[in-house]
Amino acid sequence: MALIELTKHGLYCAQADVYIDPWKSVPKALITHAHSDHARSGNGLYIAQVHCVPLLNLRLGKINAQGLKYGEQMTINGVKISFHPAGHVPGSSQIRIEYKGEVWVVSGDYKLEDDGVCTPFESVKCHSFISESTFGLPIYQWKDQHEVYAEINNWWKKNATDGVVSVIMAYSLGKAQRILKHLDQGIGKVIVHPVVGVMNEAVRDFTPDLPMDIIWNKDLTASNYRNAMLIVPPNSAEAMLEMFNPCSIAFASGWMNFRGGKYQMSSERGFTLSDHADWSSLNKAIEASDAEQIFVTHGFVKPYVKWLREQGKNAFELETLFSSNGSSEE
Amino acid sequence: MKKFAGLYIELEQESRYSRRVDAIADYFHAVSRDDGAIALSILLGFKNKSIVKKEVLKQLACESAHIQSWMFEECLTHGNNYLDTVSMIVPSGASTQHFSLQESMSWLKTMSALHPDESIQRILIHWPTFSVEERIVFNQMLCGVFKFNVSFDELTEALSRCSRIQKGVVAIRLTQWKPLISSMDDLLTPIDYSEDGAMPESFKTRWEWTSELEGLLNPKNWCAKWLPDGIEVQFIRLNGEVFIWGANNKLFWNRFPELESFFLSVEDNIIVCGTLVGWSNKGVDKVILQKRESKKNITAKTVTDFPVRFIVSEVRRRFANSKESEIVNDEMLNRFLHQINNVDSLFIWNESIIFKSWEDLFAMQSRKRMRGSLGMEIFSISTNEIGVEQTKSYFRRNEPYSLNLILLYVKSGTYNGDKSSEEYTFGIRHESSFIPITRVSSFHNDDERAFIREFVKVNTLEKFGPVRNVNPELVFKISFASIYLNERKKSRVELVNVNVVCRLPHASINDAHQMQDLLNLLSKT
Repeated sequence: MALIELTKHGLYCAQADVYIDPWKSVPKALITHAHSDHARSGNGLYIAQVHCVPLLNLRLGKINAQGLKYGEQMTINGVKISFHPAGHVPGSSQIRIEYKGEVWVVSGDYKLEDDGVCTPFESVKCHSFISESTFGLPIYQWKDQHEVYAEINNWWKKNATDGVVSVIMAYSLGKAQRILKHLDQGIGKVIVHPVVGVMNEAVRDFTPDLPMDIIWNKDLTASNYRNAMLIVPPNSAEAMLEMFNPCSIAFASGWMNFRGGKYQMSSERGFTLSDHADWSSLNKAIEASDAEQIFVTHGFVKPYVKWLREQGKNAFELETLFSSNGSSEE
Repeated sequence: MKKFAGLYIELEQESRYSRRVDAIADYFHAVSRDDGAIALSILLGFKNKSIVKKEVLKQLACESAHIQSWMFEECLTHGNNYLDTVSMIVPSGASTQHFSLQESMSWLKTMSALHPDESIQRILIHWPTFSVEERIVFNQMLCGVFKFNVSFDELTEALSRCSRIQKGVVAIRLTQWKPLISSMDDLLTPIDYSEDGAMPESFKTRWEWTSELEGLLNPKNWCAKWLPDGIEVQFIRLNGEVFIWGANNKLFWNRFPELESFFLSVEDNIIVCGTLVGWSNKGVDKVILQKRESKKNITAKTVTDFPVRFIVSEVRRRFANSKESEIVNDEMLNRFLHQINNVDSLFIWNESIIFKSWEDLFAMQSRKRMRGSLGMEIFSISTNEIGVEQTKSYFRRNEPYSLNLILLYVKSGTYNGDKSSEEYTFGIRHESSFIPITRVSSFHNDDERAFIREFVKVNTLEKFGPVRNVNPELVFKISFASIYLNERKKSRVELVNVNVVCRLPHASINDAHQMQDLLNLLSKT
C-alpha cells in the first residue's frame, strides 16, 4: 500500500491516520494553506504551519489547531511529518511525510518566485511528489513580477491623474497582500475591502513590513478615495462600483495571461499575476524534487501527465477536489 | 520593439478614447524619430509581406519548447489565437534584449530575401531575445498579418498632442505621408500655413430657442432649414484632393469614397457644408450611419450595404491659400446644383423654408421624426449667412426639457487640443447631498467661461488631478432632448443632447431642482 492514497475524504496517510487538505470532515487534518478549497471546516484537529493557524481561525472560526514551524518535525505512529515553504500565500506549505525512509511530498499550491510577502518556496527531495498543475500548459509563462507591479502602478497613476478611482480585484489571502506590498503608496491611499482588511491584519502579525492600508467603511468621503487604489475580492467588485464611480477596474490573476480579456470578467484591465507556478516553474520544481513518481492533481492534469511521461517521468493522474479553474483562489 | 509591443498590448486592452490617445502620444514621445516613422507606417495600415507561414512558426515553436504537436493543440484550445499561442509557448531567454523597431523591421526585410532555411535560423536566434509581447508582434509581422487597432482620428489627436501642431494640420499632412518613405520630420515641421486652404471653416454654433425670442424676432426676416440627424461635415476640394472634415478637426480619410470621387470633379477651393446621413428605403436611417462608422475598412461592399447621402446646406468658395471664404454666387450655386443633380441620389439639397409665423414653423418642426431630423434651424434672410453672425442663428428642438442644476465639478482638459478648455459637471440636490447628473464640454459664451474660471479660483473645495470640486452655488438652466433610465449612472438617469441654456445669476441652490423633480420627469417621459 502506498504511503499516501486517495480516499473519498481526501489524500490519506493510513500509517499516521491523517488526511491532507481533506474535503470531508476527518478527525485529523494536515493543511497546506488557508484557501477555501484546501482548508474546509468540520475537522477534529487541524495541523498546519504556525502562520497558517491564525488565518485558518479567521476563515473557519474557532477550530482545534496545532501549529508547526517550517522544518519542525512531528512524529505520529512512526511517520515523520514536517511543513516546508510553498511560496503560494502567507503560511502556505508543502507537507513532507516520511515513513521508514520513504518520503512523500504534497505540494498543495506553490510558486517559485519570492513575492516578498510569504516565505519563498524550498525544494524538498522525495520519492513521490504530489504536484498541483493549475497552470500546467506551456502557454502559461509568467513575466517578471516586478514588471507587473510597474504596470499596476502606472495604471493607478493614470487613473489618479484623471480623478478616477482604481479598483483592483484580488483574492483576499495572498494576492491582496502581494499587491499591497508592491504598490507605490506615493500615488495615493490604499483602501481595502473589510474582508481583505482583516486578512491583512492577521498577516501583518507575522509580516510586520506589510504596508498599512485603510479599511473601507461607509463614512469614507470622496476626498479619501479620489486618487485611491481599492483592493477588493472579485466577488465584491460589483457592489463597490456604485460607491466609487467613476472608477476603473482591473483583475490581477494568472488567467489574465491572454490578451483580449478572455477571462477578464467585468474588468477593464487584466494584470497577469499568479500565486501558482507557471509551466517552467512546475517543471523546475518536479525536477528539483528528484521524485521517482509524480502524481499530478488539480489543473491541466491529463496533458501535463502525458507530457511528463513523454519526458520519461513516472507520472500519474490524481483526481482531487481542489479547485483548478478561473474561479479558484489563486 | 518593446515599447511598440507595449503600445500594441495597451491599445488591445484600452477602449477609452482619451487613454488610447494618451498611450499613442506617450509612445511617440518616448521613441526615436526613426522608430516613430516605422510605427506610424504600421499604424496607418502598412503591412509587410508574409515571410513564413504560421504552420512553420508552430513547428519551430514546438521544437524550441520541446513539446509535441498535440500539446500545441491543447494550448490552442485554451488560448484561441494561433499566433499568440505560438508566441507564448516559446521559452524566453535568460534575459531579453532591447531592439529598436527599426532594427526589427530591418531583420524582416533581410529575412524576406533569404533562403527559407536561413530565415528559420534567424527566427530561432531572435525569438528568445524577445519578451512574449514582442514575439506576439514579431510573429504577426513575420506572417504579414500584423495590424493595429487604431483610428485615424486617434492617431491625429495623439500626434497633435505630442507635436503641439494643430490637429487639422496633422491630419492633412498624414494624408500625404508615405509609409516607410516619409519621415517624422515631414510630418512635424512647424506650421507654415500651407495647409490653410484645406482646413475647415468653423462649425456653426447653434443656440437654443427660447420663448422670449418669439416676441423679439419678426418671422418675416427669417427662413428655416431642416437639421438632419447625421454627421455635420464640410467637403473641401483643393489642389485635386478632397478633404472631409467633421467637427473638432476630425478628418474622415477614405471613409466616404463614393462622395470623394464626386468632389474630385468639382472646382478647386469649393467648400460644401452639410450633413452626412445613413440612408435606407425609409429615408434617413441613423442605424445605417452608425454601422457604416463602425466599419474599420471601407470596401465596395460597405458602400453598398451601408449607403449614405449628403444633405447639402451651403456652398462656399475659399479665397486661394486662405482660411477665408464666402458664400458662392447664384450662378456658381446653380452650376453646383446642376452637377449634384446629375449624380443620382447621392446628394440632397437642403431647401430653405419660408414661414409666416413662428407657429407655422413649430407645426412643421413637429414632423421632424418623419424627416429624420433633429429639428430646424433658422437663419437671417437679410444677411443670407448662417452662422457668420452667430447671434442670428438659432435652433429649436421640439419642446426641450430643462432643469435647473448646480455646478459641482470643473475639469480643465485638452478638448480639441485646447488645454484651456473645460468640462463642467452639473448635479442635482438629493436631501443634503449633490448627485452628478451630466457633463457638458463647452459654453457658447466666452464671458460665461471667464466668469466660471474666476469662480473656480476662489471656490475650489478639493482638487483631483485636473478636476476641481467647487462650492455648490451656481445654478444653471440645462436643456436636453430626452431622458433615459440608466442603472450604471449614480443618478440612474441619463440626459441626451445636453446644452447649457444660461446661468441663473439670481438663483440660489434652493431654486435648483431636486432628485424628485428628475424622477417625476423620468416617469412622465
